[in-house]
Amino acid sequence: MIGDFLNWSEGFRNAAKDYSSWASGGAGMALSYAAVWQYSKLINEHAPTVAFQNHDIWLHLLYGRSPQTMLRVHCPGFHHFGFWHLVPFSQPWLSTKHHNTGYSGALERIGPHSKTIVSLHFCRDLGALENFHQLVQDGPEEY
Amino acid sequence: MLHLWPSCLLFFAQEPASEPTLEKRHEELFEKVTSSMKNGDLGEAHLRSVELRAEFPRSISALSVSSAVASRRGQHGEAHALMDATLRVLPQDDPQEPQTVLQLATELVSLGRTSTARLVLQQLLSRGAQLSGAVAKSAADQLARVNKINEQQDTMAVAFSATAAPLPDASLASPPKRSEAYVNMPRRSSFSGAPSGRPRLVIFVHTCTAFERTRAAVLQRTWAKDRPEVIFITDVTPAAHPARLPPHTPSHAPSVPSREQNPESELEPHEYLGPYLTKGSADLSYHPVTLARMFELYLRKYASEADWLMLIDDVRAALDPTQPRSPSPSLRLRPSLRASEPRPESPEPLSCGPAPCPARSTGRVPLCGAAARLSRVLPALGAVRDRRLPQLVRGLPQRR
Repeated sequence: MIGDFLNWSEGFRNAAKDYSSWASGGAGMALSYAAVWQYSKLINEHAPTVAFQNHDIWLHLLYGRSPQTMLRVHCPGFHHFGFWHLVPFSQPWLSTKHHNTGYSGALERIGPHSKTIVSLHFCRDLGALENFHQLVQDGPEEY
Repeated sequence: MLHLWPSCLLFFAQEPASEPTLEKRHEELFEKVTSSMKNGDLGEAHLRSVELRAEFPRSISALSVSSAVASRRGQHGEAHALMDATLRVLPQDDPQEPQTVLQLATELVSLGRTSTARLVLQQLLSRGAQLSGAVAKSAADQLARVNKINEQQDTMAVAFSATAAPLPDASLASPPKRSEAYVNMPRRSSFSGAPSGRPRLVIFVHTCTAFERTRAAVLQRTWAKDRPEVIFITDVTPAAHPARLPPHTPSHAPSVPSREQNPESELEPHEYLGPYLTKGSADLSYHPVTLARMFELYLRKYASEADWLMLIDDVRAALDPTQPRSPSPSLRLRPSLRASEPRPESPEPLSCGPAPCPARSTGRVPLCGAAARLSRVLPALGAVRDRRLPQLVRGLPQRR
């Protein structure tokens, strides 16, 4: 199971890099067939006794009931915050408005064509996606 | 909250307290956590609690104080998980165990986990004569308080299992209930195994009718264009299409609804998994039932073609400018997946389905959307299979 949690919350969790608190990915995660199968078994066995939470926490609680044969891999390429400089024509104020933008740091050196970025959260500003898509269609430029 | 951590919590489930050095070290770390909490430095308290759990992973006090820290930081999900772990390591033969369970139940109430607290208290009271009078009375009082709270929160779900104590007979009399989040798994023998070669990915983009034009359609004509591996998961707004609402899915058979039930969607390709689910004001954007249905859909329909499943929703997008804008040779799920012509955008509605979209209604991180460049990441990992993944994370901190 591949996902990201460290970028999921811009608060203390990022600073702590606390893998033991890692749930199961933010808005994006990927699971192998085996992981889906394993989780399905866990759901059928344990869901009646696990309170409905948001999906990531729910999966995290189920994972705690598992024999932990699944491997959860942190993938730092899923970004929620602090990436607005990567998205030309986007609106940084939107990020400031809704979330703390304190998490940027090394990302400033990562360009929009970087292969290290898996996905970005546009915080409902899908116009930024269109602008960005138009921009990058001009041709790849690796960083 | 600190008053809830008396010295009786300072014992270990498996590590004997006769080790003075260990006990001293534990006391020292525990004191750091509590003093940080007293000083209001929750970040430091969190770090110290992590350190405490790292050194004493089976310590009840480490788990419970970590839960308290998480609660103070507003991380209620994490607090809940830690409390769950705490209850699981309680030694049943310890004379202080009933008192500890009672205190943890009190803490669950303070965390707002009243359903869980009720379950814990019921299990505690089911021990009957084994309990001391004081503990039994306190537990009964606490249960009455919880019941009163729960009367006002009838939507609360039954929470996790807690202690090993048996449930009251009345609960055992009825057969175990199956959760709505149930996955009708196909027979394992019906799956011939993932095809060899380059790992293949199918991406479920979760959206809802209310955001089809303003979010999903944008994704469809930009990032998802010419990507056959992208499947939109849609719903239908009950207010707009009352006649199309599927009957309430019974808890014993939450199968994936038929796609034909949502012909209104203009997204292609799309799947229909029923109306958008949320849970009151709770922050559920991917409702667990929806997640279970996605798993079922993948296992039933896509697993034979894609050995990886990615789940995202509709305000996340990939940065994949170097990916050729032609159907992926590695995954051809459908023959005609050309994106429709761009449609004029309309202002975003204020709600998504019958209840406010969680991404809008809560102050928490909007959990909407994701899309991937993962199809590029996976090949880079080689012929990714689960058994090889440990090599990929060598050096990362291990989950405790």
